[in-house]
Amino acid sequence: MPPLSKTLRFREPSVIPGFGLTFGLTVTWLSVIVLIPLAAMILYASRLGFDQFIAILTAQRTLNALKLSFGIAFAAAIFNVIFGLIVAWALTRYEFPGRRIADAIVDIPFALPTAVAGIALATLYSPQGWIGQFLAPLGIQVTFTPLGILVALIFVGIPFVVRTVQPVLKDLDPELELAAASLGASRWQVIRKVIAPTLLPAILTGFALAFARAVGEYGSVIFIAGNLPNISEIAPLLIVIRLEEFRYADATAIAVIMLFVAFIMLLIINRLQRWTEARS
Amino acid sequence: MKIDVRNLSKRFGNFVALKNVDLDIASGELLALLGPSGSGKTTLLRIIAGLDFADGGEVYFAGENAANLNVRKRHVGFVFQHYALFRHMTVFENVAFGLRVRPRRERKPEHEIVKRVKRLLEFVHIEGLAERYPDQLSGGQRQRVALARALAIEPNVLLLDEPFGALDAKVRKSLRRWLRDLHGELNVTSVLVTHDQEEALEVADRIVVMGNGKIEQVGTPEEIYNEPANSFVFDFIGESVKLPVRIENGGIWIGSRRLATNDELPGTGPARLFVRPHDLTFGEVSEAPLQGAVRAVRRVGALSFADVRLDYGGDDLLVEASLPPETLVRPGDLVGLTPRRYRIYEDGAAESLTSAAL
Repeated sequence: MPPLSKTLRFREPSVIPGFGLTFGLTVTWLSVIVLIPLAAMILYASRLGFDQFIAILTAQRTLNALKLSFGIAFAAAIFNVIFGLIVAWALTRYEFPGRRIADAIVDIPFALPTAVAGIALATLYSPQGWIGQFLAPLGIQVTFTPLGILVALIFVGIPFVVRTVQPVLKDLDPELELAAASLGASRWQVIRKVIAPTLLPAILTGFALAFARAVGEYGSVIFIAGNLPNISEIAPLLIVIRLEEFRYADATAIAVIMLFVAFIMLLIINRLQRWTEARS
Repeated sequence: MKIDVRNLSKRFGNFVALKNVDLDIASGELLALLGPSGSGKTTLLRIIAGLDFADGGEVYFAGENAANLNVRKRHVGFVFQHYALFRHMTVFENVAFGLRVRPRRERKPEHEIVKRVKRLLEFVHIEGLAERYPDQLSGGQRQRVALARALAIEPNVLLLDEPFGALDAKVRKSLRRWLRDLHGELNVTSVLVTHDQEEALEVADRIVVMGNGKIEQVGTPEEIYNEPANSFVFDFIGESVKLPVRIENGGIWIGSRRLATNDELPGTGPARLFVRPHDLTFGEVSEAPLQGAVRAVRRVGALSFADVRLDYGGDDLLVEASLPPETLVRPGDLVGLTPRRYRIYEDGAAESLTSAAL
């Protein structure tokens, strides 16, 4: 008997119907919601001449905004991978009072309007705020600086890492660690050679999601960043500013380049993920 | 290596897993810990390995207290019930793991590791599977990988937790024999946990029967089977038939018929008679101490069994007796049964009052 193929092809009768229907809906849905708006955007940007397009992109303010957006999103995603991993570990491996509540709290950044989060964080971290008052004497200014953006992006990204790593961690049999230890592996060797390789694909997925979310984040950042051009102005905000100035071409040009860079980065992460999965 | 277990105790919450267990494991022997689930056998194995901590008592490795040795330092080869293979590593890398994680100054050079792993894979007959991943192997093959991996570190002692529990009957049988041969070649002290008495009886040099956190009996397979120390062992090992009897006037009474007289029997009171099905002989209805009607006759492989409904004292009791090859009985026939070899245990007491072979 030939093995049952996991992917169905066109015009191949199947006992379980529904492929045509779901495929049709998928294509329609993706087109209406995602592909057509994106195509329209690229079409609009293409009306700009090439020189004009380059001029908008290489303007100092645009470059700084893009650098800030991608750079801080990347840093926040790395931060979230480290701390999200620790949170996921604590939630899956240990039984402690309030574990369920802590588990539920992780999802709050998903649900909370990001503007509310931005305002709350800005209040907390301002030099007079509960946390900011301790940081100010140390010369650390969070609000109205790139550091504030980092704090906001960490906030919105953390559940992505926790929720992608958690199920994999749950499936990771503690007996594997015992087996490794009985073979003479130190704790560090167990983490490096047994736990990390198993978790790596999930970690990369979590990283990609947290990163993508952070690149697109707008609401929470604008309240804490101060939005000083060239210093703490993110690319999505610059797009809004250009729109408000009726410079639609500029706005779409920035949007297109954001789309392009984000697509490339996600593609790379996706490849990395496939590669790590193939090895395990 | 010789292992001594002294006065070991362990509880999990309210559940007592081990109660003051003492056990000497001789160097080079293959010992089976046998018992029903919850008897503490796996807990005992894990404490010996250092995978669990005892609440009280000590384990001595070659006379040295192992309390200060963690699982890393104990140098035990542990084979887990579900193999615990590293899924992201090939078979080769799984087996090489224990050699590669050694501290740098103790680590062998790469070519020696390769040589040793290859030899181990040949030893367990899976040399062709070195580049496969565990997911691509059958259960029996995984078990061999797990064993090769445990042997790679040249362990002082090999500990196997229900090693064949997850395999089908045929594979289990062939692996059992193979393990026996392998132990003969290696001569490494081995402890095997199993709930399968057949496995223990076939493989082990000595068997430790455990029940409710205590050791019930330690002995060779023959001793365990032929001279069960108490009713628990008799009941657990092999098939057994239990019959309520009475002890009165120095005799054993089954209903109104006397089975035997024995002056050493103390007092009067209810007791239980334990007998193996193959120790029940068919005889004349009028003479045999037990009578009943045949309910069904079954063939299991080469053996035949008859379910006999005993009729005595108003209590109906169904016993399974093995039929001698020539005996012909049909359902509905009235037959007599005589226990040839049996043991009598006083109600509530574990120790045997008497045993007899007629």
